[in-house]
Amino acid sequence: MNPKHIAVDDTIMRVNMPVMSTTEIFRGYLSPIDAHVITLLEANDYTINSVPLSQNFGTDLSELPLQQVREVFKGDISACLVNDPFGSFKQLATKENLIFLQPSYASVSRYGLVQHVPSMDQIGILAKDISTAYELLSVIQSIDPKDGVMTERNTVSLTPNKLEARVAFDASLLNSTNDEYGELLNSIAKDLNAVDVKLIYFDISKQVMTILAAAELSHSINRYDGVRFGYRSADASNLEEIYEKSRSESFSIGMKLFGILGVFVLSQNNSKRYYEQAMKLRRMIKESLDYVKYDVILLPTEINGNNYTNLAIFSQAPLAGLASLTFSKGNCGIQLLAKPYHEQQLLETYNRIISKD
Amino acid sequence: MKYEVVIGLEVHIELSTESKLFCSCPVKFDAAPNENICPACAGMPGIPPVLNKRAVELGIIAGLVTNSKISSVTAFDKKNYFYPDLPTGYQITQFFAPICKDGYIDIELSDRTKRITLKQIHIEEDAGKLVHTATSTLVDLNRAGVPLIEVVSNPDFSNAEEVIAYLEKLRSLMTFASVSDCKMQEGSMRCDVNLSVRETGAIQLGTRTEIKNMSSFKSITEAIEYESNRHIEALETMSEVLVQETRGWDDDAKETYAMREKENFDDYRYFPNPEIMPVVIDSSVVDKLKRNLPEMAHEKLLRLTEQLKLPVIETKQITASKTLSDIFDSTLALTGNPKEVLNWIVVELLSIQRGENKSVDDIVIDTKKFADIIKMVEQRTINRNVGKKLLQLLVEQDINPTNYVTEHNLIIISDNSSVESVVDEILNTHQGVVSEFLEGNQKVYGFLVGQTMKQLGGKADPKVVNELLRSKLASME
Repeated sequence: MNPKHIAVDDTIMRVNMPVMSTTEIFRGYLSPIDAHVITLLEANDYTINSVPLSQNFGTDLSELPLQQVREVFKGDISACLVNDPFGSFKQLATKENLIFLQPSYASVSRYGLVQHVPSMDQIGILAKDISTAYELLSVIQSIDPKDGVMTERNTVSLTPNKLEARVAFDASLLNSTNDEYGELLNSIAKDLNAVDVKLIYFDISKQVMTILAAAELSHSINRYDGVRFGYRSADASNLEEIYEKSRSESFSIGMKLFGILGVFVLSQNNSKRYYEQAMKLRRMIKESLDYVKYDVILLPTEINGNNYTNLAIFSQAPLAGLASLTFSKGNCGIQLLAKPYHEQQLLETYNRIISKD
Repeated sequence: MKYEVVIGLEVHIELSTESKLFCSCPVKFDAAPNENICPACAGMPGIPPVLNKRAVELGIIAGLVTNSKISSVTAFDKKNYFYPDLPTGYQITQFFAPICKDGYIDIELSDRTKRITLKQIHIEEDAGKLVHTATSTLVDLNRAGVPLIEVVSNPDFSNAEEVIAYLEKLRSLMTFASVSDCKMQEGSMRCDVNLSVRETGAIQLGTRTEIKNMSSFKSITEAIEYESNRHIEALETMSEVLVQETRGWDDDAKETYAMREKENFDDYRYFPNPEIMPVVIDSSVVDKLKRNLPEMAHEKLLRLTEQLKLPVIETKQITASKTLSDIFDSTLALTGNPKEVLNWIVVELLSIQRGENKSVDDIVIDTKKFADIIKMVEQRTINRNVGKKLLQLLVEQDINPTNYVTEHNLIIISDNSSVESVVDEILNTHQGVVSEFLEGNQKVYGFLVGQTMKQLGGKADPKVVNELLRSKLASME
């Protein structure tokens, strides 16, 4: 493994390189710019491979990109940067013995990252080990005036804490996991002296996530019309047909579903009922996290069901703009959440978990 | 049955910023197609918007000069609007938290003053432009992302006269506050007219139509008259069913035409733009901008007429235009003679502008050189006619008046004996004309003055020529 050799998903744009090349609508489109993180990595002598990891804006939740991830980490690549609003790569991290470090919202510039769900988009780090992940974070986190949401306060502190992070755990979530996994998690929580909390909005969070992501995604993909760049249907004879056929032929079923759902939740009579309610719930989810009582939340990485039900676990960080760390200890998948810009508390907790026999 | 017309306006005004609202592309009117674009304003993926701070300041200033409440927190939203000139498929605008609310503008009508109330002012990005050719439609995105404010009035207007008075006042406020140049011919001030007709005294409004993108006062007046009559006729004769829709104005046919049925606002699928942080406007920022507000036209008119005792009618001509007002100020600062400067602008400069068929706002003049001409006339270095000629050359060719006078030997002839000998020669040469004058035909006097001035190369002091001619003719009687 070469710590200076990394991959970036091709939704992170590089000059004259293909963009999200696995998604048909981008066919033939070459990036006119370098993403800010690319500039930072090159300035720090990283060797970068662009790889096609994300497909269809991450909307096809039924199938995780397992083979693509394995392909990326075949050689001496030490880490891969990828935007993961729906948690697909976090799930894979636990299955493939990798680490996924999701920095706090707006702590890493999104300049040059293809917009998926702008209020949740964040370049994350899928790495072979924890030191590589944190080393990369120290390189890519930097205030960038080209990302209008970043301000001076969006700076991650990587200075180790003197105090142990206080951990919280919602034991009721174990009702939704298999027994063996539940026991493993429970014992980790005990080792960490975790305080018991109730994540009261946990069950509704996947619906909140779906509504908001669909609303934002439906606008993000509005620009792909087959006219100015990317895929254009060869079968179109007028402008209306270019729009209709280019999209019909190149948007995946997931993109179409999210697009239609986004239009629905923002449309006449529905905006108040769905979008605005989801926004309220998002605020309530954020406000319900009581960082006076604890610093880090311990979560499972899989609950009984499917990839969609797992969205509840992986939507917590993007909905609340939190930092998260996803990894496995043995067969036990673990996700830690910390309040924004406190990534060092994740590292400290990780070290405690891993060092415990 | 009697009807009343109810009109509300949405006026789009381009802000005078150097760069676009969310990227650093320059804002220029006459650039080649797609010269001022970048991946951001061309709607390419991956580039987040970065808000232009100056646009927000100008939005606040627009609110201050229209007596509006400035929001302490303002934010931007996405408005879904799928059209070829809008590269992202949505417009970034302010729907939920506009920058200004509840303002008003007092307008002067022929018989009274009327207060027009404003619902809100919001900032938004402009769309690009479609250029239709015989075989295709081309897209020019130079204008895409240019910052605008939209000034939304309540439906307080009853006729075209009020609308035009309001638009003139709004233009005056925005230009004097340097919010915009408001050049309608360049599209930096455009107006959508919302019009309905109801029975006089009725509470409920009639069916509303919106006439989009009006960009001249003349068209606006004609469109309002046409559309009012169309509505009244439809109501009286049932000749057509009025529907809520967007209409365009055909300036050749002098009629409106249906464009599309009016979207109701939910179809725009507004939602807060997560790529732009809400803007917190500190009261200290507003106070500072308020303290630094320049003098408005109506304030200036009052000062010039009351303090400097300048004539009202001519002064109004100056204060009706920010361009003229600026020329007046900077020329006055160099000459110190307000009456002379006013006179030179209103009489001479505007005459040149009319001759060239230019808009007043298109006058470009080096005021230092203009002041030099006025001073040379005042100091009797040149006569006024030479001054006028120099002014014409200054406007047309940007000459250096001082050098031109020297190079072309235009200095006034101050030696009276030279003038007198020419006067004698003219009287001698044109004895017939002299006889006519002496017999009472005063009209021929001008001929004698003209011949004398011509003989002196136009450089004599007309006053001296007059005095000598009058005196010599009197001695002949």
